[in-house]
Amino acid sequence: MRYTIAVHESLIEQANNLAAFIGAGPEDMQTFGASPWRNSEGAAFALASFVGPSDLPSALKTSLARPDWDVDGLVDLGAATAALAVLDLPDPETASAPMATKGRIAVVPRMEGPAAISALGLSYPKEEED
Amino acid sequence: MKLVRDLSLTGRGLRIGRPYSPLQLFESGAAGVWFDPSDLSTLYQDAAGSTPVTGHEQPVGLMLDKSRGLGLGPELAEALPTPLISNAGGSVGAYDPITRTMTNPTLGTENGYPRFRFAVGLVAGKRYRIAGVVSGDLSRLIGIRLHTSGGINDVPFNPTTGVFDARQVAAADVIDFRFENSAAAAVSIVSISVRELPGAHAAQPISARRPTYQTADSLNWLNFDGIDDLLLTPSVSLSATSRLSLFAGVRKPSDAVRGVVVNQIAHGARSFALYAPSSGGSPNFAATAGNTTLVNAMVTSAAPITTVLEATHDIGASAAQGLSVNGGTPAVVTGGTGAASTFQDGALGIGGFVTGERWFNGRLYGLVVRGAETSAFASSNTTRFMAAKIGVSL
Repeated sequence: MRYTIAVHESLIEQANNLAAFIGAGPEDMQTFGASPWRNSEGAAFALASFVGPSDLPSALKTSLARPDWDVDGLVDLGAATAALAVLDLPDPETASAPMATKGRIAVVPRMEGPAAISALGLSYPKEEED
Repeated sequence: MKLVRDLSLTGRGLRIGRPYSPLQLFESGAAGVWFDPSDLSTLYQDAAGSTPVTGHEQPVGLMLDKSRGLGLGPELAEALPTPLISNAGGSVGAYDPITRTMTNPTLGTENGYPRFRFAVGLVAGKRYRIAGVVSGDLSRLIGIRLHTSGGINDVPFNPTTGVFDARQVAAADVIDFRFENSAAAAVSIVSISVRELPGAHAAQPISARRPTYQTADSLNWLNFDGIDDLLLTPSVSLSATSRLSLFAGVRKPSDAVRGVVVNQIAHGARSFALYAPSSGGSPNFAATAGNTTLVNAMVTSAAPITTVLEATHDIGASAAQGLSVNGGTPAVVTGGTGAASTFQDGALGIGGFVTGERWFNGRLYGLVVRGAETSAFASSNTTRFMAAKIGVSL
């Protein structure tokens, strides 16, 4: 299942530690980088979109376990836990996607990239031809 | 004369009875890359090249460049040298060259370790296929690396069977076996092979940024999500040429947001980029190149559209940038590039700028970037080759 995750610019470090916990290696600590997307209030967001397991939302509700690859203790458990605390998942009753909000991390499942960006209420700055 | 040479039975050109392959574009030594997502033997889910892509919707962390034929270099580990043993925290590593067994008979402190570094002459920056089997107390072998520092383990191995088979970029000249400290550790290298894998292979080490392999109706492509998917090659040497030929089979599902199919050196002088679309809301494809001033050659072809794009770039004295769709008449823009020059050496970004952003939303069925002018005959063959990849006949 495809997931698209919007991270407010103030939470990129925390979100990258969470991404590394559910990812495959230390490189996943760079999952969220530039934050060019904006919501209607002008807040800036970084996005990541990937195909993941269908039970990812429920797995994120359980306590984090250090991944097998992290034999050197690279990932900051506190930062990853802080990211979990501000995670907005789809409403299980209505399945409506959360909007990208300042100070929050929003997860949108099942939508392809452009549709997910729209559902999150985000837009990309318009660019002219060079 | 050209026709006679191309059909020669002994020359390097097209031979009678030989099916056309873009590989022929590179037989003369031209710089560049050829990517073919329909060839599953070139796709791996991880950037280390240890887990092959086998089915629809799997991520692609490594796509091998076929322009050098996928042949392997000479064996570098036939006779393993005596390793340099790096101890810490009281460990005392030892090596038996007869059985090729690495041991640590002395228990050190909690943070101790032995490292066994075999200098086999790897060249930093080159990608190697490393394969083999280790046996013994594998629970204490925590990494096989092609570098000597940092916690990243390059070569995944099966902790039960000890088998490893990866295609990894070296960061040092060694193979480094990294142990967690334990008096019980004893691991033997049953077999090992290390051979260079020539080419500018495209990889993405960050999981979420990997495009997905997709297939339907006998067609195969990489799907880029328009959000963060991007593959990067190592540096491709184009500084000896002012001319460049580019062929791409692409699907552009939307014209909403500007996307980069491929580029070298993001949006800078002596660089090139292929856009789909050329800007947000535009129905155009654009091929851009130049020296001090970048020039766009544009073709209008509104989304959704699946097509073969051919871009021709010349940033030399007779500057001209061209772009055609499905082998049609190219749109050509001349002049305006500043002083004549050559392209640069640098990484290619596939699915976005090398530096990120301007991510491509769409499908890539195949890609050829060739650092040379390509003859009309070879261009026609390559366009038809790409057309077959997108499911049309030209």
